[in-house]
Amino acid sequence: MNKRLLEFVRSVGHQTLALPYESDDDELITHFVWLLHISRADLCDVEDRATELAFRIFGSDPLPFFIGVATPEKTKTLLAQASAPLFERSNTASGPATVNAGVGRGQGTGPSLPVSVIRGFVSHGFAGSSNTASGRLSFRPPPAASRGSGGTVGGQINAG
Amino acid sequence: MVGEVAGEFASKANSNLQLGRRLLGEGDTNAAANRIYYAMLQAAIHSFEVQRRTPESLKTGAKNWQHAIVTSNTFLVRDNENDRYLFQKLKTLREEADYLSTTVDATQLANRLQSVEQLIAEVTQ
Repeated sequence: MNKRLLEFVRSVGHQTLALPYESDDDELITHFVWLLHISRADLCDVEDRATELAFRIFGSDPLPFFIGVATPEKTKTLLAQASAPLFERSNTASGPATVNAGVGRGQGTGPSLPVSVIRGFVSHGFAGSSNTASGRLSFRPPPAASRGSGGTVGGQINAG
Repeated sequence: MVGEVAGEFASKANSNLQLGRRLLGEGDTNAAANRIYYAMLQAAIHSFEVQRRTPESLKTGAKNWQHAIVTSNTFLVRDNENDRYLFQKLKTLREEADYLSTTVDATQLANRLQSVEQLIAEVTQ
């Protein structure tokens, strides 16, 4: 995975899901990074801050990923899709999917945030490419008490 | 000739913006995101052509206005670095709308619409 992409995922301050992704329109794109469990009221603010951070990290270089912000409902959908057996996975995809169990919002770069790297990669699953399942995703939701706005999130995706 | 072609893109941009607004009002956020993104892309192309820029002038060997060429040079549209942010966000929404099985959030799109309208108005007037 791109070193600067990983830096972004680690420092964005939210739980993230980074999925390898190819765009028909932009060959530079390698991932779709989702910021998870964002309340609807905060979607734009979080997206703004994350985009600013990404541009700060990448400078004048184009971003090699899309930044999506997901409400709790969309988070469930994304995680279910990412863990579904029919969701295509491939060792030939462009990089591993990661989840960052981030620090509280606005705390900036954490010193050593736990990042789980899934063995076997998750492709975006729309190109119809043949993939082999390797590794299994499981999601452990954060404790209810830690899901509040600005609180610490502790969800994690692990390779099984 | 350049003026005529650029005028076509301005017209397309405004048509797509109008359609995008209507689709958003009707609750079809995916279709709206697609149209609004294209409206912005076409406004940018219009701007480049008015400035007598060509795809080749922005990327060696390029013959067409590929999305990546346009979106990575959006700061040239109004000489405004912030437009890079706006294009990135709309591009992401359009990607979700067209290629993912999730649905674009109406709040997100609605909140970006005014900025897009301003950009298109300014560029195509």
